[in-house]
Amino acid sequence: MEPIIRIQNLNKFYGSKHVLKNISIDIEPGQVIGYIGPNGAGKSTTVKILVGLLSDFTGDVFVKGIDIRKNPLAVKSLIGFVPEMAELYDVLTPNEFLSLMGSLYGLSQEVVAERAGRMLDAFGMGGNMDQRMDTFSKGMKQKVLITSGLLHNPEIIILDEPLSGLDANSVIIVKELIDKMAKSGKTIFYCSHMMDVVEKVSDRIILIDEGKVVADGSFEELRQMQDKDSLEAIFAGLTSTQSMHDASDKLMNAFD
Amino acid sequence: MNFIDKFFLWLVLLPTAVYRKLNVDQNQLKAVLTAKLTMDNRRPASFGGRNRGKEKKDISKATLFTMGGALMMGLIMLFTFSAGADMVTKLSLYLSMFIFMICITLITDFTSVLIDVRDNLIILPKPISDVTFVTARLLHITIRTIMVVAPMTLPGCITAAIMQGPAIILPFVLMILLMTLLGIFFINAIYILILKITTPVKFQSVIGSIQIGFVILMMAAYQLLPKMMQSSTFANASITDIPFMQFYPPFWFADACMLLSGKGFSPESMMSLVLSIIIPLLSIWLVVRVFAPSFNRKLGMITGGTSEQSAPVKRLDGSRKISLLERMAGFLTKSGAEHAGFIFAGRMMGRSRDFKMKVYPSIGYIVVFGFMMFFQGHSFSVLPGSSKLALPLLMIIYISSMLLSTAMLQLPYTDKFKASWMFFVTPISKPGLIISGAVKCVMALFFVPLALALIVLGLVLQGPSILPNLLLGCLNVLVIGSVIAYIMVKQLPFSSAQEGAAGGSTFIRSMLLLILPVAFGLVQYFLSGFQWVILLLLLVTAVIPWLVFDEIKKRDWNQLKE
Repeated sequence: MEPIIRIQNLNKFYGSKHVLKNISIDIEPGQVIGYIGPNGAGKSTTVKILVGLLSDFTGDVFVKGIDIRKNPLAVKSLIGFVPEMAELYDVLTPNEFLSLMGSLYGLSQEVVAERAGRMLDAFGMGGNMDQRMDTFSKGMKQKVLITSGLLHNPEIIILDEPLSGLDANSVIIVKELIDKMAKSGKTIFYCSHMMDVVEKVSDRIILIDEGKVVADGSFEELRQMQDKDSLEAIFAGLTSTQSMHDASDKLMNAFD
Repeated sequence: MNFIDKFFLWLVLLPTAVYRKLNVDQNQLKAVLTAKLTMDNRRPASFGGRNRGKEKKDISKATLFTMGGALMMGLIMLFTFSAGADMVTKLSLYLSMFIFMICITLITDFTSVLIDVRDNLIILPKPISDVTFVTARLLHITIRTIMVVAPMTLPGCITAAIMQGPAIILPFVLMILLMTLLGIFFINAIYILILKITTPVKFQSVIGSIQIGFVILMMAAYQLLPKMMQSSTFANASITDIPFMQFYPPFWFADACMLLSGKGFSPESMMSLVLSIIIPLLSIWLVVRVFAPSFNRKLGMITGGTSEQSAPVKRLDGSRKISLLERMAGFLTKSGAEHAGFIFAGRMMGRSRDFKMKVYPSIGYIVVFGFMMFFQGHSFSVLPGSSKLALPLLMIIYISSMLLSTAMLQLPYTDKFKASWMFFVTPISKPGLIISGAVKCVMALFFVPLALALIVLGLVLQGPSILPNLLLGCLNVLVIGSVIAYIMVKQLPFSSAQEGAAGGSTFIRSMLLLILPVAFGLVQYFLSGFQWVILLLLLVTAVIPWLVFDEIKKRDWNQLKE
């Protein structure tokens, strides 16, 4: 099967800083990819390149066979993106914000109104449709963001820390949603620091550190390879240069 | 921090004894000021952090532009030296104009410095006393204001020195400084009073309209002087002859300035000197010691107040209501992206606090100026070949282009600039479409209603003969607006961080852009007698905005300003 996302020899520099070093990944349709790595490993940069926020990279990125550099618009319409920073124009109401997002994706206002209403209803926010978001809690904003990323029924969904701020019930909803979307053939690219969630939702886990892929495989494969029980332990084993206990000791000793 | 900031920081930290007396913690004061001044000169990284490492530049272009604008304002203010019989009168007029400009600049551009809500989360939870915090805030704004004041008063200072000899320079500078302080405390005290009266939650929405009201009020008071200057007797009159002048602050400063430069000693001028020094210092004391504590507590509630949950309301079922904004968008825009840009800009302009604070006060100008023009219209020379009414109406139309340019200059900026990721991840072929939609919205909201009102007024009072000239005026403003948009609006609406407080004043920059309408207005004035020329021009100018908009729409991603 042709990969839906093909990243080949991806390199990215910020000034003289080499943040992505020859990354190559092929992703099949219907996969749920858990994309993990320590802070500053290059996760967000990869995501920014995939969603078209960054274009000054070397190497190739194809989405459904389309070169992202040659036809960024076609790629953008295939992707739904839920960003990490819960940043949105919060003086707008969910209704207004979603209708704006819908127009930018080229949807008609009727379709947007219908879908947005149903999706926010499902999140239990049907009654907040016409309230300004500046009074919303972080979780409510996150629900609107998730809705905005799914509105145009994209084939690929890129989620960057989508559960932040959500209450326990909403976390369950989103986890099940990821599962169902993958079953219906959508590809999910899931970035997170929450190892327990990644462990459960992903078919395949890609771990990057210092701009390089250091592990790639299903949770089972990684577990056998590393002989560790949890993803947290695998993560620590592959990415840290010193033991965590040392680090916490040093932190405590800083007061002496 | 650049060398100018470093110098000012050193300067304001000099009076250690004063700070000790006020119970200001000087280490904290220095730390807060250093951080604030450093932040002013930095722009947050945009997507991809492409402007990393470019912070070396000492003074940004926007700062220079603002300083240039301030210098130009300073030159315009020189006309006050031509009125009045004596130097005290001239100086009083000059200083009235000066304090007026400072207050407006403070209201429109430095409100975000006076009320920086980020402080609530970062500084207020720390063990810092209210006195220290307010002092830091006031010093910060003083340093920022002086960056505008210095170029603005330079021409006045030189002129005064030429007229009175170099002895006046030091007193002049001293009085300008004291007046700047007075302005800052005045505005600050007003905000504090407003906070005392309203609830913090309401404050944000109330402040915008109060700013507008305040500008209108100041503008109206300010009209008294030029009016007096128009009367022929005034050219040879002295301000000292006017009763109750002793109660007019700019008079004290002018009087004190003359006294200090060794001219005109009298018991009254001694009184003026005392007042001009005591009043600013008294206002420091009032703000810092009396108002500050409750202010900070209430300020803390501005962001704290947002946690009140909005209760879900029952959604109204049935058909979606189509708002007026959407109707206008449908009428004025074509494509999806342009349409979306129009509606987005319309909603944001009506609600975004930073936009309202920077732009809405300019509405005050237009209102007051409009009234003034209209009721004084008879004193102007009549438009050749036309009626008495046409000239004031036209002047209002041209002056309103200043509101238009203020709004355009402010269009790309917001505190919430990070929310603009949505424009970059959605499949938009030409960002120019969104910009064009937003610019059209600025015109539709900030100019079209006024233009329609004036045209109706003209028709009612004068009849159809006034129409060609009025229409041409309106079209010219649209031309001016679209050209300014083409040159200045190179970012998506509400997508960028305002260049720090050092980035300068939108207000002063849009004053600089007044040159355009003045030029257009003069041309029309000289041509207005020739009906057929006007009709011909009408045809030509009707086409230009559409051509410019076509160009704006074509703007590509790589043509946007980073």
